[in-house]
Amino acid sequence: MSLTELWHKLGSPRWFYQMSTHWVWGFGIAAIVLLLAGLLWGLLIAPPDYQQGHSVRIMYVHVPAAMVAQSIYIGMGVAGFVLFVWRMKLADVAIAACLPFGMLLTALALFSGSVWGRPTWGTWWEWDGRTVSTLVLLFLYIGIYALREAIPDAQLRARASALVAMVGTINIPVIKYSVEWWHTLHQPASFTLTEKPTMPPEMYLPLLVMVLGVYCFAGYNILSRMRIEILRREQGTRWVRALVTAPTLTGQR
Amino acid sequence: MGAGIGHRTYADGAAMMVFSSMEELLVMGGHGLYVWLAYGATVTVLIGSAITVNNARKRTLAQLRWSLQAGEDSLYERQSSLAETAESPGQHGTRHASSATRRHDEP
Repeated sequence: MSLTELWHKLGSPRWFYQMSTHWVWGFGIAAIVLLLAGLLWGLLIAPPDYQQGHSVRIMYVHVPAAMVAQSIYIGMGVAGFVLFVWRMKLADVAIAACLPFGMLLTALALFSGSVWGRPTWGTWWEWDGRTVSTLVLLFLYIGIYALREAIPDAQLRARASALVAMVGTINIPVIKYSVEWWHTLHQPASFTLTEKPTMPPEMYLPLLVMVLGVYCFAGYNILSRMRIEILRREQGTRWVRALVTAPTLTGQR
Repeated sequence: MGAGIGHRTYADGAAMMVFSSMEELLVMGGHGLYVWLAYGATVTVLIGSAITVNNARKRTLAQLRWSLQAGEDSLYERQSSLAETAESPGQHGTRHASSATRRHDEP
């Protein structure tokens, strides 16, 4: 299938629903395996840090949460752009589906960061560049969510949230470079996909497993939410009626 | 490789775990509270999100099936038709009347 063909098919909620059945299962199973392995590895097997001691284990849950929370926001920004330029209905479904988990992950990153800051920095909260820009990310998620709840007209709601999602992506490079722009307490990036890690493999391997696990979980969660939203929006169509009333043996819809 | 406190290499085999006792695992050299809070919150968010999305899927499918069986086109129409059922005593009355006349016709 060519890229342009895929692009046109993405405009069809029915095609997306059917294809994503397999993707949801793949992401879900991969997430369970990776997260179970990563959590146990980070908690029990990975070595303590020579400076931070055992509190370094928080890295294995803090870094993936922060990374994926930002990636989900970038995804929302791209969906917002697609909605604005091509008016693709599926893009609005994607924005709506990204919000709950993105918001939760950002809150989780702030919480685990705070809990990591106490033993390592000596404070629960520090107004440094990265913490504040991550707080802004949380407010952006909450803002778009509130905006969607407040606008009853579907078309206006879609365009307004797409616009805020797009504009808000400015915050992502701010989070990324905050540790370089302002030298505060926050340590520089633990982990990048492009450079050779500065940690020993005993530490970066469990971190890699956790990052991949949280990405897969996000894929599972967001695709599931998109599928629910598609069913609700397409409920008048023949294919949804057939799907809802058909008896299933596997429980798979 | 010997940089960490109590760090063992994987060559130890049986001793892959860094902690040698349950107490050591819970306390983590004084950092136990922070580590367990962070891991607890993470597991709560993950399991909570999985349960929420699965429940939402089941609820949506049940709602759609229910509204289809009720012969409605959409959930929104179902909601508006709830207002109409308030007027149903009138219909009820006419049905009674017709059954009464039918009974009257019977010998």
